[in-house]
Amino acid sequence: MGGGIIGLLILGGITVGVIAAVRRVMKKDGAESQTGDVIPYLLLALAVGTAAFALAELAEAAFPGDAFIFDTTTQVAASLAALVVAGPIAFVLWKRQSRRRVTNTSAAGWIVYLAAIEAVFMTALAIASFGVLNSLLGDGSSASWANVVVFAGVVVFHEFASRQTPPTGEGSDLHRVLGSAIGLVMTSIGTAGVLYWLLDLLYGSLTPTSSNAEPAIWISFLLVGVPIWGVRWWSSWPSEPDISRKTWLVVASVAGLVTAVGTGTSILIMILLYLFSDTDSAATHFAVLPGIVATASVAALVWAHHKGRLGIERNAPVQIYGYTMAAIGLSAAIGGATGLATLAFAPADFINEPDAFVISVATILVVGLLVWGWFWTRAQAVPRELEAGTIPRRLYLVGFGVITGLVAAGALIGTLVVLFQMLIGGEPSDSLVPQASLFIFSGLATWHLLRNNAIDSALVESPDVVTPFDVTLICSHPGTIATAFPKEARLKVIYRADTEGVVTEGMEAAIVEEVGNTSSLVWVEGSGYRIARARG
Amino acid sequence: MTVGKKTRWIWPVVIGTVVIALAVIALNREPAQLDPNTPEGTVQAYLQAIGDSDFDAAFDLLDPQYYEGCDAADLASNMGRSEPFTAVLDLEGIEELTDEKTFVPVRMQFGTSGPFGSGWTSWESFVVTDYTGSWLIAEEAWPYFGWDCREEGF
Repeated sequence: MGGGIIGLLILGGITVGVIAAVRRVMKKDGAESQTGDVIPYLLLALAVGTAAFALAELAEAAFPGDAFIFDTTTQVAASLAALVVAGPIAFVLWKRQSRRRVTNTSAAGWIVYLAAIEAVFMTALAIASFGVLNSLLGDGSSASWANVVVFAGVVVFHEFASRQTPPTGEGSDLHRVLGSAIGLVMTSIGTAGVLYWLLDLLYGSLTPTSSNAEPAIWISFLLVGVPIWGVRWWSSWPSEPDISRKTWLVVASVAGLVTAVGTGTSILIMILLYLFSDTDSAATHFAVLPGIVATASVAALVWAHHKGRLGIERNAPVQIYGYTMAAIGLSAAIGGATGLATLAFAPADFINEPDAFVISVATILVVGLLVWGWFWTRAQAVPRELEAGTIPRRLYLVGFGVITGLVAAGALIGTLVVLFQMLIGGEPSDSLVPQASLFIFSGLATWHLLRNNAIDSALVESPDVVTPFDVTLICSHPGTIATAFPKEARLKVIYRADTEGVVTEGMEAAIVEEVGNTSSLVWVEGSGYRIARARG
Repeated sequence: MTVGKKTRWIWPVVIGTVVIALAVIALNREPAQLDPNTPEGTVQAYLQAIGDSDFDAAFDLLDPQYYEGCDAADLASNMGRSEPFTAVLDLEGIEELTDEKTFVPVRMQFGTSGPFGSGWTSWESFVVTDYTGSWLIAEEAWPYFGWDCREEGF
């Protein structure tokens, strides 16, 4: 008993000491931060993270679930040590930042802090909740609900704080976007799993094969993911999409479409393999179909939902989406073409099961070309002068061109190594054909990308810079020729005494063109004009 | 003390009280004791003995035929300076292999968890055999020391 009281006194003393020290330091830093309070908020995130996980550890030690052996002394000691240090720091920093937030809601630190808390604690809450649900519904190993309570408390506390003083400015949607991503991933896994379970039941009723899939784990994913996604994504947004929401729309659209097209391609390959190569019975061959169809369906839904919100107006996010898909399609086409060339020119025994290989790589080549062609054609449909100077297009043409160029260079080095080995008497290597093929196809892609970039550059380049030049015009009357010269021209008119040398309207354009922005002497007379280049 | 100052300290006081309460509960909690005359009770007794560094008691729960040539010192030397652990019985996974043999899976959490902990989890399985009324752990079992001392070798 006496030891317990001494322990409490020590804990209390350390807590009060830490609070006093932190306050003393913070009082010296009273001026308004010029960096959006990022550093205090990062320190706060660290302190809150340490304290919250220590509290979760302590709660788990107090309520260890189904554990039948446990030693709580280490857990309790570690948790108390972390709480005594991190708790007071979190308390003092939170109070300080709450006061400052009232007058500065657009502080970058508040946005970063909320995003960090969301990423860590929403993920922790999702994992802990999933563990508890899965142990209740299915045969997952038992999990402690104490963590769920602590992590939910942290999330709810910050949700209220963010509603009291909502972050404003660019990036203010970031924490909600991160929560949406966590919710969507879990919802998608759960939906695909439940769909797989249903399709597998159907497949099992039609064929003698079945994987005996269990729905509990997928329902657990759904029960965790749907509320998170619902709260974070479907509740009303306070403003137009900011950069974080636009970025997420692009990421989700690309990920959804790539997964849908990828799984669709694998279904196509599976059907072609069944039709054109020696396979097992149809039931065995297509046994994985329920899983692939479920994944493809959910991916297509994810794509449709996010692409719909991305819109059709060709703004920067839509351009990034389109060029990313074009790059992925072109990469797949390079891989497919390399595979086909390898099959055609490499030694006969280089590839096992050539029938299956040719069907697979040919399908990948066709699908890759279709994807690339679709998105590249849509980019080409826009007037080039409007599209040429945009950053997404530049990144695609130059950035992806550099990547394919590096691949081509690496493949060329590999090819030359093999060739030099053969020249100096070594054994010919089987890798010659794949390396050479990769060099050719990635080289062609590089040429295509950089050539288009060169055309774009010529289109958007600024006109030639004209340096100031002198024009001495000897005439009877200059007319309006002064307005036809560029502003860099310094025009000096010397009048003739007669009326023979008048600059007519038809003469103006010809003289300006012939002068060509260089210092000149122009002599106008009755029969026309003569131009002499000025010296120096 | 004003009302504002009073409310300012409510949350720290509540959290502090919760922390102390949790610590007291954790330090006074004992695991439910399973019947030692069952396979899962045998595994619990074995792991509890190792957790208490009572290696003689732990070794007494091992199949003497399988571990012929070994003794408690071999078990102790293989444990070394082990981290404290928590063990959770996987009730769904317990399986009667034969009338005499039962498979008992256990999830073991070593060290402390969380982002600042140094914990890790492993899934261990124990085959428990009925020797005329008393259950003993047969075959190679955590912490896998038989390779070092068994007469039959590993």
